[in-house]
Amino acid sequence: VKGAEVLLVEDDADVRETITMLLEAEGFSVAAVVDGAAALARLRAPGEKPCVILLDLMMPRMNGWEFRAAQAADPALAAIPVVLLSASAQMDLLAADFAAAETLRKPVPLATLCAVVERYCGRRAP
Amino acid sequence: MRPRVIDRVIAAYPIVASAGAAALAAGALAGHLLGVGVLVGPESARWLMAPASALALLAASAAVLLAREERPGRARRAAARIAAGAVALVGIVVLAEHALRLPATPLDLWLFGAALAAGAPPIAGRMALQAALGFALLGVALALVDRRGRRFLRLSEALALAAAFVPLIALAGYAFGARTLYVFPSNRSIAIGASLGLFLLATVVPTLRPRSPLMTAVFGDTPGGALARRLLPAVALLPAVVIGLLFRAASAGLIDASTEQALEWVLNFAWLALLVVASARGVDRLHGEVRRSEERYRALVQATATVVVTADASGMPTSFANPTTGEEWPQLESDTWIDWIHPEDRARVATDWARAVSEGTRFEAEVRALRPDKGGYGRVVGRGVPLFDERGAVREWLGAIIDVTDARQAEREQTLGLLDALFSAAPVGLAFLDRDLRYVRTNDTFAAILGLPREVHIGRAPRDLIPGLAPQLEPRLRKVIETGAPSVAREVSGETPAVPGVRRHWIASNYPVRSPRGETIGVGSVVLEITDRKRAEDAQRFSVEAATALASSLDLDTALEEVARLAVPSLADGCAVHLFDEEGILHMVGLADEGPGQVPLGWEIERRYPGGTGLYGPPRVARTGAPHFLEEVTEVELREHAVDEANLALLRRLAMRSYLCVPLAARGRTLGTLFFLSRKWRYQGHDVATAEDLGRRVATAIDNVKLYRRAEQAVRTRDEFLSIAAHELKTPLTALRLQVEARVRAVRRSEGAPEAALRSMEIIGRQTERLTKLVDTLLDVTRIRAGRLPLETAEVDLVALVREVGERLAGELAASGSTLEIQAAGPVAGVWDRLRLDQVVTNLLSNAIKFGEGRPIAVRIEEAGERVRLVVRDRGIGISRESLSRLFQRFERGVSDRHYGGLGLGLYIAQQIVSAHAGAIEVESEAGKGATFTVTLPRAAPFAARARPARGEPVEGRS
Repeated sequence: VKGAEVLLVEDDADVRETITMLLEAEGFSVAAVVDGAAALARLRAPGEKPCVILLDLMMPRMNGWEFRAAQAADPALAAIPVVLLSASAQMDLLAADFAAAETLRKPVPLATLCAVVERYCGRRAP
Repeated sequence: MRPRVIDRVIAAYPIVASAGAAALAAGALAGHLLGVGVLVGPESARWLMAPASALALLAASAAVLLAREERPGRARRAAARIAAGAVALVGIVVLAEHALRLPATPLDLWLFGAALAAGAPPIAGRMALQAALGFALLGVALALVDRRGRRFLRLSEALALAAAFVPLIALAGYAFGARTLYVFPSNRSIAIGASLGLFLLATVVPTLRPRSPLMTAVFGDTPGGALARRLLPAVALLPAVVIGLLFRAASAGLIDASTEQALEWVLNFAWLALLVVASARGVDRLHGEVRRSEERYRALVQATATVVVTADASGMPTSFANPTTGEEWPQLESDTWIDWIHPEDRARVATDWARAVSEGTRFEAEVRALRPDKGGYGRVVGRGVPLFDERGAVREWLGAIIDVTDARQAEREQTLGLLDALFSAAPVGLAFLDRDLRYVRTNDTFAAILGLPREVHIGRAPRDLIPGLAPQLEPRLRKVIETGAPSVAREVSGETPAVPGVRRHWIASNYPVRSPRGETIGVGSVVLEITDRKRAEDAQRFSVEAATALASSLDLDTALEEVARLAVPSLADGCAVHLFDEEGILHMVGLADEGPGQVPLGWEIERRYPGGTGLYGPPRVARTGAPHFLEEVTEVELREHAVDEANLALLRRLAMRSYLCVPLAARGRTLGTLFFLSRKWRYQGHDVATAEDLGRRVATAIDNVKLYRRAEQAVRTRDEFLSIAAHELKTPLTALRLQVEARVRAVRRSEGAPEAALRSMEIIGRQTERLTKLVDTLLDVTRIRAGRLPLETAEVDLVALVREVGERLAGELAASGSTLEIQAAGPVAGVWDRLRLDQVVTNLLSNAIKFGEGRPIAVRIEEAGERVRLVVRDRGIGISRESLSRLFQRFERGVSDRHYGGLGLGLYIAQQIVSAHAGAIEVESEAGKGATFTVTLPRAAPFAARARPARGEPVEGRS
């Protein structure tokens, strides 16, 4: 069941807070976690699955690559679209490597971020 | 050697005989004491010996057994003498009794008074006269056996044989029934037992000393002994048989007495005649053997042309003659023989001969001696063998003198022949020169080195044959002749007619050659060609030194000059290095030349014809990449090389005889060329391969220098770029930061500002701060790289500083979940750069928080003498062993870059700061077990404070 929540996986507190703040201001409901492990825990908890996962790559404990591997291995989670957020210069290569739905290069313009989230979650609140 | 049967019989005889005699005596004594009937019948006197005889037999048996050993102990000898003396005494006393016609028998009464008084058997109390005589002789004989000296032994043997003769007569009397023989002269008869015993013991005496002349004559392993052993039994037994048979016949009345005597004579004669004839034949046979052996000896002496020498026991020669031919060495006489020996050998021979004579050992000597038959001295071998008499003393000497002159000459010639073959075939050059340094003899190898046939050498000096080398050779040769000291393994180099125009190398050793009298008559030279080895060495040295020069020089052009210089003069008279420049144009970049004025000339040519001209030399090689050489540069070739008359004139002035040019090729590219020119020597085909190899090595070294330089340049460019970039970033940051701060203040001042806006401003402020720190870090690194990290020192309390940093990081600490414990006894002060130290502490604490996994963090500050220690410990993810060693390097990180961000500069900067304080930073860690960083600082930084440039704050990221 496609939920209405955006799951943000990002270790930097300020980035996490800023994106959450902006997306919420745009009317999206956002759940933010600090790394891949926390994300998996949340995804496996009972409840609605998110409409999209915004995934940072470089994180302590479980990073983006590890999370992606775990997600792909779990049939219940594999279908959830993942959008990469990274500062890397080689986003194209990464995307192919990752089989991610989309890739966004940091710093992400707000308009682009909103457009991408809208594509997966639809327009919610005004 | 196995003992002969006869010897064993002789050895056993004394025991057997004395046992038999003792048994007879014991039987008689028993008869006397027990009065055994059979022994006391009417015929008892015949069988029963007198008691004294029995005792004397026992004593004699004991004496025999005791005297058996040739070297008895003192006690044993004394006992033997006493026993022998007793026997003799009994005999003499009884003889005296008979002579004095004493009616009573004092000895017998004394001995057997009781038995006689009882008078039971009519015993014959007194010993017969024959027995007494026998015992007297036997006793004395036994007593003399032990005495030293041949005379006593001989006397003893004679007495013993006389003692044996007495009972023998009596036994013959018993055998033939001639009563007179055993009764006469007294009316007492000698008993059979006493006769037998006496006979046995008397015949034992000679066998006690089996090596006596008598025993040797009879039992010795000689022709005489063999004859005696054959004859004696025959003459003893056969007449006894003949006479016995005739006697029996006469007694039975078959023949009368005269017939008996006649037959006795005839038979004895026949028998003895037979024996004599047989013996005569035996003697003849023995004599024949002796004569044949003597003949062989004579033939031998004759065949070997040996002079036989005899000498007396004192060593004085008695004759010098060949015993067969009678040929003597003329004039060689007993007292002057030593004069015939060469004066140098006399002392040796005299000493050796005297020693041989005194020790009685074989003598042998090879000496030079006058040869009377042929004249002059020859080589002679003399041998002498001592001949011993029976007592082992030298009786005389027999010797031989053999002329071995011819044999020795043949040996000498053979040796010389061998030496000659060796000399000719030796793979080293060998030469003999006389005192005037003219070649006397040379071998093929030497001729090959010179390139001149051997016949040409003889009688010529080095200066005639090899004038180019003579200045090196002749002084050394002359010195050897003058001083007599060899000159060993000296190097010689130059050309010989063998390979004109090519420089070759040899190792020559020169030895003085001396006459037998010790004067130097010339020099022997041993010459070994080492050209190939030397060339290889030169090339090797050049390539090693060239590579070193290229590696150690900062300036490539200077290094290439040096490379050119290294080739001169071992490889060339002149050497030039050409390289392509960036535009691909060939330039001469290094030049060395031994010739006067040649270097300026070379550069002049380069100036007027840059990179060389046309189709030859460096341009050609640089273009084709293939080596090129001219063995002999002629006018024709020079004209071909030159582009015009002026060029030709310049090229002529180079005065090249030969040149060789090889490409400098590395990684498949031709970088330039290496050009060698020679004015004296010719380059040859085999030099090309060596030079090509050199070209490759030098090119590789040049290539490495270029690559290294490029890499260095890249690093420098990056550092410069970083410095500029960081500065450029600062400008917009400064404006941005000020604007943000102004906005924050404005928002704060405005009442009722939305919370979200405040929060937003906060984040903007923090992130701007972070950006500033990152830029500062980059600036710090570029400063450190440029060697500029000045310290501004002042008194600092490290504990207070740590607390301050801890407070500053409280937010992050809280977010991470870790707790911070600061352990310190009290203030720990030192003279340091406060802000730089703040950077270090902040970096270490940030790392501990970042990698601490929320577990407690402990910071300990303590004093350790003149030093202060700061220990930061976390219990987080730790650092793997392979990361530890690189931890403090630039851009290195102790963790996966897929989990943690950061520039990888923090720990690098921290370490640089600590080092600038003359301190040290160390880390101990294990993956998964946390990390402990220990900073040790001296209380005062060792240098004065300086003006401090602007600088930044600590950075994030364990680095």
